[in-house]
Amino acid sequence: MNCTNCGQNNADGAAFCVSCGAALSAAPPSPPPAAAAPAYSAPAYSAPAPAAQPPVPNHLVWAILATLCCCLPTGIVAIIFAAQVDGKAAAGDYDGARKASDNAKLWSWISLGIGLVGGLAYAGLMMLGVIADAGSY
Amino acid sequence: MPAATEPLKHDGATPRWRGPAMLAAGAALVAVLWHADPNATGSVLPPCPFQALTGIFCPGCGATRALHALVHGDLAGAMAMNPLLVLSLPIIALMLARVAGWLPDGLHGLAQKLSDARPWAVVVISYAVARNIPLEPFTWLAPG
Repeated sequence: MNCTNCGQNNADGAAFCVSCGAALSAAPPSPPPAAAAPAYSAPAYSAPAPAAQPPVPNHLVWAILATLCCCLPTGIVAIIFAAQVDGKAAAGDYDGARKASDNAKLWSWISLGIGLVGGLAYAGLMMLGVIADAGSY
Repeated sequence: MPAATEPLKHDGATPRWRGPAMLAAGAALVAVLWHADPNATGSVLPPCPFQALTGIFCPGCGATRALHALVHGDLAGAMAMNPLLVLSLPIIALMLARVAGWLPDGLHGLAQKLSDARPWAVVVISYAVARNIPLEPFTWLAPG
C-alpha cells in the first residue's frame, strides 16, 4: 500500500511507513481517530514507549561522518551500534533497537565532539605557533 | 495503540533550522578547505590523530586531503587520498538531505535502502583493515 503522507510504497500489513514513519492504516486513506490496536503490533508495545513503533533511527550518517572526518575509532563503535539498530529492528526487538539507537547517537556525538575540540585545539596551537614564529623574526 | 494513528513523526516534523544550519556548516568547511592546505607543513588543519598515535591508517585517514583536492577540482587526487570517502559522498549527501528534511519524495525508498547500517559496518571495517595491507591492490586504498 502507498503511504498517505509521502507516497512511499510499503509492504502490505506494515504498520508504519518505512520512509517517513507515518502510521499506515489498512482502511482507506482517512485514518480512524481511535482505532483498535492492530493485533500484530500489540505485543511489542511496552507501556511508556513514546509513539508506538516508528522506524528506529540508526543515526548512520553521523556515525559515517564521525568515522571518515574525525579519524576516531569511536566512530566505528557508532557504526556498529547503528548496524545493531537495523538488525534488531528487523528481528522485531524494538527495545533493543532503541537502546542501540541511543548508543549510536551517543558515540557519534562523542566522536564529533572529540574531533571538533581536538581539531580546533590543534588549529589554535598552530596559529599561536605561527604567530610566535613570526614574532621571533 | 490509538496514538499510532496520529502521524507524529513525518517529514514535516523536521526542525526548520536544521537544513540551513547544515548548509552553513558545509559552506564553512568548503571555505576553510579553499584557503588552508592540509599538504603544507605547519598547516592549521590537523593530521589524523589515530595515525599519528598508532601508525595505522583508519578509515578517515586522508579525508582532509581528499576533500581539499575535491574543493580544488582534483578528483584523481581525492581518490588517491581516500577513495571510500569520495565514493560515499553522493550517498552521504542523500542521507544529509534526508536529515535536513529536504529529500525529494521520489528518493525516499533509495535513501531508506542505503541507510541500512549493516552493510556500511562491514564495508568500513573491511576498508580499515584493507588499507593497512602493504600489497599492491590494497595500497591504492591507503592515502597518498
